[in-house]
Parts: sequence; C-alpha cells; structure tokens
Amino acid sequence: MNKTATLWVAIGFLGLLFLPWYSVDTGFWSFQWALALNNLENASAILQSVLYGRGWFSPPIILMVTTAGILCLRTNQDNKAKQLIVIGALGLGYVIAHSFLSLESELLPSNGAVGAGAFVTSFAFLFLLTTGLAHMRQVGSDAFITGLIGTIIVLVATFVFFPISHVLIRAFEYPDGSLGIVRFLSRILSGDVWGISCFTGGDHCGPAINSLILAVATGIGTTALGLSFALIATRTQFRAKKTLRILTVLPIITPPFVIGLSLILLFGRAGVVTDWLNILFEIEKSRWLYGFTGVYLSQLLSFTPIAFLVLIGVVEGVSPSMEEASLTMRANRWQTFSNVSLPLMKPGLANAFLLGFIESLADFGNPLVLGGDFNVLSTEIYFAIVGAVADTSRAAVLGIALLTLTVAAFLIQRRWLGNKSYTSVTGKGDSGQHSGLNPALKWACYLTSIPWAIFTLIIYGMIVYGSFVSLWGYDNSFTLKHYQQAFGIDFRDGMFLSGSAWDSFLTTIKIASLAAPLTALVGLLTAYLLVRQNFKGKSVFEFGTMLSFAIPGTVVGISYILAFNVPPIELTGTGLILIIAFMFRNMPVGVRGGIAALSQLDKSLDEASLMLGATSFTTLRRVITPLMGPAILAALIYSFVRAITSVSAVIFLVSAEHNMATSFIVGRVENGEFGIAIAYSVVLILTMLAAITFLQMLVGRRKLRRENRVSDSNRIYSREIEQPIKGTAL
Amino acid sequence: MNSENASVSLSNIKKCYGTVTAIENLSLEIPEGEIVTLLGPSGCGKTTTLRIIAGLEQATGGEIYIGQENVTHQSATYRNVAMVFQSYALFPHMNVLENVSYGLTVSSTPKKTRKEKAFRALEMVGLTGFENRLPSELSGGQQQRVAVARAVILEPDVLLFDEPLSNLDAKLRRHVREEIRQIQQSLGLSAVYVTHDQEEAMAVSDKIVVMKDGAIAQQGTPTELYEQPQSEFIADFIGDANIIPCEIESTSGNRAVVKVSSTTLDSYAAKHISKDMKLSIQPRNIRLTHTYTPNSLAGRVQHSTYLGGHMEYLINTDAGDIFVVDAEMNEKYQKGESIHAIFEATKTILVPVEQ
Repeated sequence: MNKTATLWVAIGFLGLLFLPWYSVDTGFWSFQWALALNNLENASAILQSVLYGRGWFSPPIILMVTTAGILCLRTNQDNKAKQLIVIGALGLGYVIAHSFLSLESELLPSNGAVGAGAFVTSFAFLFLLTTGLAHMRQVGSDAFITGLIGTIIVLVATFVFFPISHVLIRAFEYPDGSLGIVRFLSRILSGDVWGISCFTGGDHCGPAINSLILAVATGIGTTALGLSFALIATRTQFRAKKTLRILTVLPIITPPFVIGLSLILLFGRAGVVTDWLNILFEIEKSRWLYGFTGVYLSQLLSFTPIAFLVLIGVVEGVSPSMEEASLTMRANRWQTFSNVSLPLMKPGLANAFLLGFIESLADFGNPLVLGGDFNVLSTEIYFAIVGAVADTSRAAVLGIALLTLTVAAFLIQRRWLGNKSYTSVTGKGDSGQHSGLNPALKWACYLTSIPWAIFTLIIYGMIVYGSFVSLWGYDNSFTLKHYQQAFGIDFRDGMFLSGSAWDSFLTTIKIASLAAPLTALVGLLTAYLLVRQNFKGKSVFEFGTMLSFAIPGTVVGISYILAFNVPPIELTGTGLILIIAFMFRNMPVGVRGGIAALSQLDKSLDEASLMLGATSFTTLRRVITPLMGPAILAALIYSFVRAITSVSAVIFLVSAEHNMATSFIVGRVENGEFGIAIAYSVVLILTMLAAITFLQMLVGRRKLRRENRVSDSNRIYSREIEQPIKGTAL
Repeated sequence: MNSENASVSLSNIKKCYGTVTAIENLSLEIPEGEIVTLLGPSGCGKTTTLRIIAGLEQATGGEIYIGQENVTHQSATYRNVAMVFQSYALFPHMNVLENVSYGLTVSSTPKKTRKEKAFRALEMVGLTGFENRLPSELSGGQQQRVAVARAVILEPDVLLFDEPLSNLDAKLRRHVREEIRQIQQSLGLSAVYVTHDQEEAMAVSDKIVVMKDGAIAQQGTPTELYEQPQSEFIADFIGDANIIPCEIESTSGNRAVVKVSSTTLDSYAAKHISKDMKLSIQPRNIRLTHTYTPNSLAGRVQHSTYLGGHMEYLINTDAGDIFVVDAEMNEKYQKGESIHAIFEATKTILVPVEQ
C-alpha cells in the first residue's frame, strides 16, 4: 500500500505544483504555458495560491502534504488505510465542489474551465482513496482493481450521467432560469409531443407517437425477416448460405444515409422505378416515398441484418436433441417447429424485437433523409437545436421523451428477458442434428428472404452505380466528377488535396483511430471487472456502464453540448469531445464482447496465476490479454467502424476545425448535392471494408498458426478462439 | 491457537454467501509434511475451505495461519501456497516450460535459475523433453504432471489439490495418485487434498477430514474412519455400511446386546452408547449361510449379481433390505433362497441416530 500511495502523492504534487490548474488557450500539448508559469492563466495551484492570493487552493495542498506525512510515519497499516480513504474522499470532493461553486463568485482564467493540474490532482486523490479501500479489502482484491473500478466509475459519471443530468435540468428550466415541474409536465405531456390526431382524422401525430408506431412496426418487421433469414441459414440446404451471412456485416459498414439515398434513387420522383412505372403504366410520379413508408422501408433494410445476427444465435441455440426427441415421439416437422423450437426461441425473438425497437427509436439518418412531414423524436431534437431559433429547452424535453422510451425498452429487455433464456447450449457436445423445416415453411422463408436479399443487394448496387452518374434522373451520363470534387488531388505544385471531402475524411479517420483503442480498452477492462471481480455495488456498476447503450445518439449530442459547452469542463469544438462521445457510446459493445470472451475463459486460469504469486495486473497482462486476442480485435474493428458511421451524436459536436465525414454528407444532402454524398459514402464503405479485411486477416492468421501448433485441440482454448472470430462479424 | 508444527491452521473459520452459510466454525490443522484430505459429498464446503486456505476466497470470520504467520487478510498473490486445479488451468498460450516457470517469471527470478529449477521440476514429474510442447499437445495425465510441477517449483509451505484426478480415466487415476503421494513424500511437503471419492482419499491421505454441511463430521486416519465411524453419515459415506434400526437391550463396557426386529445380536459401540442408536455393518463383514448360526438375521435372497471377483446380494429381512458382498464365493446363492446373514460382532458398530 505504501508504495502505491507514495506514487500517487508524488503525482498529486506534480499536479499541484507544476501543471496549470486551468485550461490554457494555447493547448496543453503545445507546452507554451511552461514558458510563463507565473501568468494567471498558466499558474499551478500553488502559484495561484501564493502569487494571486487565492486561498481556496490551500486545502488540497495541505491534504497532499498531510498524506505525505502519514506515509512517512510507522503507524498501523489499517489506520493508515482509513486516513487515506478520508483524505482521498475529501480532496476529490473539495476539488469537484469548488470547480462548480467558484464559477459564479470569482474572476477566473479561462472562465474557470479546469485544465491539466486539476485533472491530475483529482486523479491523485481518487487513487489515494482507492488504494486505501484496497487495503481495507472493501471493494476489489488489490490496489489495481480498486483503482480501475474507481476510474471507470468517475469516467462514466462524468461522461454519461453528468451530461444527461444537464438535459434533465434544462427540461425543468423556466425561461428566467428558475426550475419547476409544472412547465415541464405541461410541455412533455403536450399534444405537441404525444398528439394522436392522425388517428382521429387530423394531419399529424406528435413525434413521440410517430416514433413509437415506427419503432413497433420496425421491431416486428425486422424480427420476422431476421427469423426467416436465420431459418434459411441454419435449417435448410440453401446453397448461398455463406452469401447470406455477408448481409450481417453490411449494417455496420453502412454510413447512415446510404440506404435512404439509394431508395431515393430508386423510388424518388426522379427514381428509376418511378420512371419505369410512369412509362409502362402511366402511374403518376409522386413523393409517396417521403414519410412513414420511406422511413419504414429504410429502417427495415438497415436493421434486418441486426435481427438476423441475433436470431442465428437463437435458432442455433435450440438443442438439436430436443427436436430429435420430438421427432421420435412421432411429431412431424411442422409440429416439432411450432411446439418445440418456436417456443424455445421466444425469449430470443423478444430480444430481437426490442433491439429493433430501440434501434428504430434512436435512428437519425433515415428519418432525416426520408422523413418529409413525418416527424420523429430524434429528428425533432435536431431541428430544435439547428432550427431558426435554437430551443435547447424543447430539445431537452423531447430528449427526455425519447430517453424514457429507449430506457424503458432497455429495462424490459434486461429485467424481463435477462434471466429467461431457454438456449440449451451446454459445455457438453450435443451431437444431434437440427431438424429441417417442413416444405411449406421452407418456401415461405425462401419467398420472403430471397427477394429481400436481392432488394438489399440492388440497394447497395445503386449506390455504387449512382456515384458515377452526373445528375440522377436528368443527366444519366457516366462521370467521375463527384469523386473529383470530393477526393481530387492536385499535382501541379507538389501534392495538394484539393477535394472538398479530404478535410473531413482525414479528421474522421484520425478521430476513429484514436477512439477505437480507447473504446476497446475501457470496454474490455469493464468486462473484466464484471466477469472476474466481485465487489459491492457490482450490479449498479454494471447497469451504469450498460445504460449508455440505451441513450440515443441525438440525446448524447444535446447532453454533451449542454454539459461541456460551459466551464468547468469545456470541451466543445475540440476533437477530444468527439473521441469521448465515441468512447462512451460504443463502450457497451466492447463490454458485451469482452463478457462473452471472458466467460469462455476458465476462471481457474486467473486463479492459477494468482496462486503462483502474480498480481491481478500481471495476470491481466500475461494470461488474460493474450487469450483475449480475437475479442480485442473485434472490439477495435467495431469501435473504429462505428466511429466512422455514427452521425446522430456527431452532428451536434462537430466544429469547423473538426468536421466529420457523416456531418459533411448531411450538409451535401441538405444542399441536394446527392452525387458527392453518394460518392463519399462509397469511399467510406471501401475504407471500412479495407480496415475490416486487414484486421480480419490478422485474426485469421492467428487462428491458423495456433491450429498448426495445436494438434489435439485443447477443450478450453479451442472454444475460446472460435467464438470471438464469429463475433467479429458483429 | 496454532501449534508449533502445524503448517496450516484454521481457527473458527466461517464463510457466508449473502444469507447462506457455507462454512460454520471450522477449525482444522494440517501437520507439517502430511497430506490431509477434505472429503465429503458435493456442497459440503470442502472446496470452499480449500479456496479459503489458498486466499481465493475471503473468510467471513475466523483466522488462518500458514506457518507462524497470520494470513487471514492476505490475498492469494502473497501467500506461500500453491494449488493444482481440477481443470489443471495450464495457460494454453504458453508451452510447458513457460507454464512451469511462470511463478518464477512473475517474481522476477533470474532467467538461469528459472530454467534450472523448471528443468529439475520437469525431471521430477518425468516430463523431460516435453519443454516446448503446448498443453494441448499433452495427454491428460501429462497435463496433470505439468500442473504439479508448476505448483511445487515455488517450494510452497503447503500444496493444495482441488480434485486433481477427476478429469482422468479410472485406470490412470490410480497411477497418478500414487505419483502425487510419492512426490509429496519425497519433497516432505504439507498438502491439502480435496476429493469426493472415498477410495482416493483413503489411498493418498495421512489424515482424512470428512465434511458435511459446512462442518467437520469426523476426522482421523483412514483406518479410524473406516473401522470406527462415529455417525450414521460416516458409516454410510466411508464404509458404504448397511444401517439397520435396533433397540439396545443391555450394555457392558463397550459391548452391547441389541435387538433387531425380533432377533438379538451382539455389537460393538464405537464411542459411547446412548439410547437412540443404529446398527452399522459393512457389506463385506456379513457372511451368508443356509444353516442357522447365532448372531444372524434370517432372510431371503432378493437379488444376486455375479461380478467375477465377488458376489453381491440384496437380502430381504424383517429389519429391511441389507446389502452383502461375498468375496470368498464358497457357495453361490440363488434368488429366492432362504438364508441367514451372520453379523460379525467385532465389525458390527453402533452409531448414533441422525436427527
């Protein structure tokens, strides 16, 4: 304990004595502040206190000096630990409280936005607290584990709950700044949000009702289509099964507007199909696509692969021996399916439905492109912010309505389905065979799925085709001008990236490559804590880390603007805020992947390592990390790709300096420059495919090498290594 | 509390999981250089006890000493104990040599010493030449030996075995358990061994601790447990004994005359005689005859099984069905025959009735 605590005291002093307490305009990494440490802007805590007479800086300094004193004394270790806990909690609490409370009262540099000094000092106090807790064996087993738990709690609190609380507060705010519930209730329950006049003959329903109807319809549609695909993939002799599986990869590499744009190319007023229908049957060209139909169609196309992916697991999870048992009892294949297999899949089907439901509610790209007059919550939030008058208060109210729906679905999914799984895969080899489908059901599946798969392929084909057409519907000549405009390179004076998209493209790649390893790290470490460590409040911890999954991107976006546009934590306009937003939005996927991979690793491996004298950090490094290779790569791929395709949160957070690909595309779509938007999307898809292929090859080679070395496959290991490879398709 | 020569001693250990009590006031000593086996049915708390000694679980109450040191609040990393896991827990990404020397690697032992010690340990378990294999390229028995080598290389104060033979097939088990015993004796290690197999326990242990419902039911040498069970549970669990209800007619010293249904039998009481006792006798200690003999119960053969080396009979008597093993096989009895089952007085033991 002494060694660890001494290290953190040293780091604490570094933060208090040398680093600028407040954020510096020139940027921390430029180190220009080091040239003029005595300036008010650049001063560290101790200089603030000595040179500028700011007395409030003395308590943290005194606390740190006291800690140093305590560590030098040779007292009882238990007492020392208790003192560390008290000092850590006091110091952390004091720094946080003062950062908020001092904003109004004093004239502060950088308006009081905290910087490196405050950051380092806070963490030093946090780790003193966790080191003390580790000694008392109150939380985890050693200082590394308690420190890790502390870090993740602080990060999630700061970047998930703190911003969300801003949304709540803003929703309750009166125009004069005071808080009250009456106005909030009247606004959130108003017909503006929940109107149902479309059922009673009126024109428009409220966006909440629209969202809800759309989400239920999408949930049902994607589950039905997904099941049909899953049955074909697992229960028939269909030849192109492998090709079907490719469908599961599509949604993760599809930028958000691609499907909407492609539908416009097909069914819009200038669309191919519209043209043909007009010529052949003289059906009038209309804007029928824009509205519920279009959004619904695009969401079905976007989210069916997700349902497919979930349901493959569910359908395969039904133990073949149960079906064989049913068949031996003279049930025919239809009876077996309807009486045995289908009931066993029920929880999985409900899960797929809720997933589709949540995805549909949170979806932003499709309604934005195809919504027309059909308003849903996620787009209404956006228009409340970017509209003629920025109404953050209305955005907050709508955000809460949306959040309520998604969190409710999330809670139902966890509470109701969490413990209710009939999947009967056990460790024992289950050597039976899944029974085939009866002919009627088989043809029903074929007739729904195959046309749908072809439709999906046409949609993606249209995108590639459309990017080479000069002006869709009017001038169908072949051209490369969209690519030239977006990605032109001028070689006249050396190399110059003259295309308009380069800037946002490079920023996107940079931010995504920075965010991916951080996301994977936080996600997998959290998974490690959840699977391998026992500590008080673990269920709350788990809930907190998974909750960000249920927060729609648009809500994340407004919450970040509300929370981080003002001191003490000022991040808007930086690249950092984008990285952070990606980290905490995509973290739950890393957590889930990590949990799945770790559950396959026999716990006695960790224990054996501990018994041989390794600390939990060493165990994590030497035993668990090497065995988690595929899961780590899967998490990396996923977070990289998600960072590229994400739009809903990003669109609020980009700045002139840090523009992202998706928000660039939104701009082009809004200006009607479909050509560039489509060409850009194609380039993004290709980039992501290249990244995935590259990483998959790494994983694939690993697997081959192992298998060459492993002749008689080890039970634990071979299972561990196969599973996450499947998982990379996620 | 801990005596001088005990390598491990537990005093009043308690372990609760929420409201469930897994171990209640358990006190136990592992003498220096001996193998003590924790034996019991599943869920009796034997593995939990082992994991508490290992430091993988924290006791809710009580104290643990290893040698003279109080290690109650120490975590597994810092205790000088080693463990052989049921699944062996060999690191699949490291070869045999890396696995065996892992403990030395993480404690930053110089590479040369590390290698020397690892080779010596591998030689001891007879795996010289296997250094570069991966665990998955070894047979179950070889993996087991790697696990043992990996555990002993750190020269622990106490070596823990968690059902180490349960993943091996029956023939190999006998062989490996002798090897384990031999290694333990040659190194003079203290060891705690957990198993649910009473034959295995008998074979490897200096002392057996039988556990039931989180407490010690009886402890002693294999002979003591087998020949002097102090409870119905031990008689049944260790000796597979027939437990027959009886009434005590008279006692003299440690002998008693008991009445079983309408027959009077002599018996031997293991400890002290109380009012509610049952008769326990192991299947091998009952002889069958056609003719009446004193100290016997009359019955009828309900079932007979020929097993090559011995016969097994199920005898239907007034006191219930009794199970008999006849190894001599002087005569074979057929189903339905009336016979007399003779209870050998010195092997017939009274045990208190379980509540």
